[in-house]
Amino acid sequence: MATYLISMILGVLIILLAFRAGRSLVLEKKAERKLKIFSARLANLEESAKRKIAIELHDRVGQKLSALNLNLNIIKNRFTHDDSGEAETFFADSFRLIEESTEEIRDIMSELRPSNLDDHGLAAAIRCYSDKIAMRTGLKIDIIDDEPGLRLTENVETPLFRIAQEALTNVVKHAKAHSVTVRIEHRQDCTRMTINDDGIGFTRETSGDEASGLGIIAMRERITAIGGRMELNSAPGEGTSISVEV
Amino acid sequence: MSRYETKNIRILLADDHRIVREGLKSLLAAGGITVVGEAANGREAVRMVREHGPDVALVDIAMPEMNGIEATLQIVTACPECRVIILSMHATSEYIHQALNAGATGYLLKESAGQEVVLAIKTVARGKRYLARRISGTMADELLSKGMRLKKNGPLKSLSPREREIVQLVV
Repeated sequence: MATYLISMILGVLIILLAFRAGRSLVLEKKAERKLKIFSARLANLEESAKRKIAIELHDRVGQKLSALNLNLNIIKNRFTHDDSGEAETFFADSFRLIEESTEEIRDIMSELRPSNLDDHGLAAAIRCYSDKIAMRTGLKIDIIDDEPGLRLTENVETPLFRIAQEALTNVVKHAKAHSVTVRIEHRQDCTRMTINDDGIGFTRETSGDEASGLGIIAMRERITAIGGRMELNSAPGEGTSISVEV
Repeated sequence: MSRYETKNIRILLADDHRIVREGLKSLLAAGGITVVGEAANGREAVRMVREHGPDVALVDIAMPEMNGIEATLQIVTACPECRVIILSMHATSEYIHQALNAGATGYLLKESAGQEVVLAIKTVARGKRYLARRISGTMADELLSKGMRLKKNGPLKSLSPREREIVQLVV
C-alpha cells in the first residue's frame, strides 16, 4: 500500500514537473519568437530613420551647397580684376570646400542608405560600397550577379545588402584577404548570395572578437527575419565563406 | 557651322529647388543664355518643353511627381531636337549610364555645375556630349576595365557602341 502511494505521488510529481518544463519551453519559444519580431521591427525602424536622414541631407544641405556654388560663380564673374590674384585663390579655395563638403555628404548618405540600393538594386549598391573599400584598402572585390538588372523586393534587398556590408567589413577588419567574391544567384524559388574570401579564416576559438561575433549574429537574425537561412564556413588558412539564401 | 553658334541658346530649367533655379538663371543670364521656362517637377518639364521648344533642357535627376530620367525619356521622344543635360548629386556610373540611356547628352554634378554649366550647354547645343570633369576620368577607367574583363581581343570591341562613344569622349 505504502509503495503504491509513494509511486503515485512520485508519478504525479513527475507529471507536474514535466508539465512545468513543457510550459516553460513553450514560454521560452514564445519569448524567442517575440524577440525575433522585435529585433526585425527594430531593424526596420533603424533602416527608415537612416533613409530619412539621408534624404534630408540631400534635400536640405546638398541643395543649399549647390546653390552656394552657383552664387559664388555669379560673384566671381562680376568681380573686377584683382591684380594680386588674391581673390582668385579665395574663390578656388571656396569651390574646393564646396566640392569636398558635397563629397562628404555623399559619403554619409551612402553609409546611411545608399541611393543606389533604391534606384538600381542590390548588386549596384554592393558594387558602389566595394569600390570605396577597394580604393581605401586595395582589396580586390568581384561582384557577380547572374541576372544583372533583376530587382528583388525591398524587404529582401535591404537585409541582403546589410549582410554583404557587414561581411565585407569583417573581411577588411579580420581576414587579411587579397580578394573577395560576392556572388548573387537567382533561382526560380530563391536568391542566394555568397561572400568568399581568401583570407586567414577562423575557428570559434581563434575569433576572440566579440564585436564580429555579434555581427555574425546580426547577419543571421536579418536573414531569418525574412524566412531565409545563413551558412558560415571557415577554417584557419582556408578563408571564409558566408552564404545566405532566401 | 551649327545653327546654335549664330543664335542665342534657349534653355528650360527643371529643378524642384527654387534656390538652385534662381542661381542657375542668374549665372546663365550672365553667360548670354536665355531661360525660356522653369519647371519644378518632371511632368511640368515635359509640358514646358512641348510648349516652348527649347534648345537645351537642364533637368535635375531627382524631382517629385516625375523624376529626371523619366522626364528625359519623354522630352527626347516629344522633342528630338531638344538636348537634355542631367543635373545630379550622384557620381556613380549606374546613374550616368541611366541618364545617357534615357537620351541625355550631358551629365553635370551639382557641386561643380557653376563652373561647367555654360560650357556644358554650349557643347550639347553643338550636338556633342558633355560629362562633368570629375566623373569623366572614372567613367573611362571603368568602361575600359569592363572591356578588359569581358574580352581579351581588345577592350573596345566588347563595349556597346554607346559605351565606346563615351570612352572616346572622355579619354
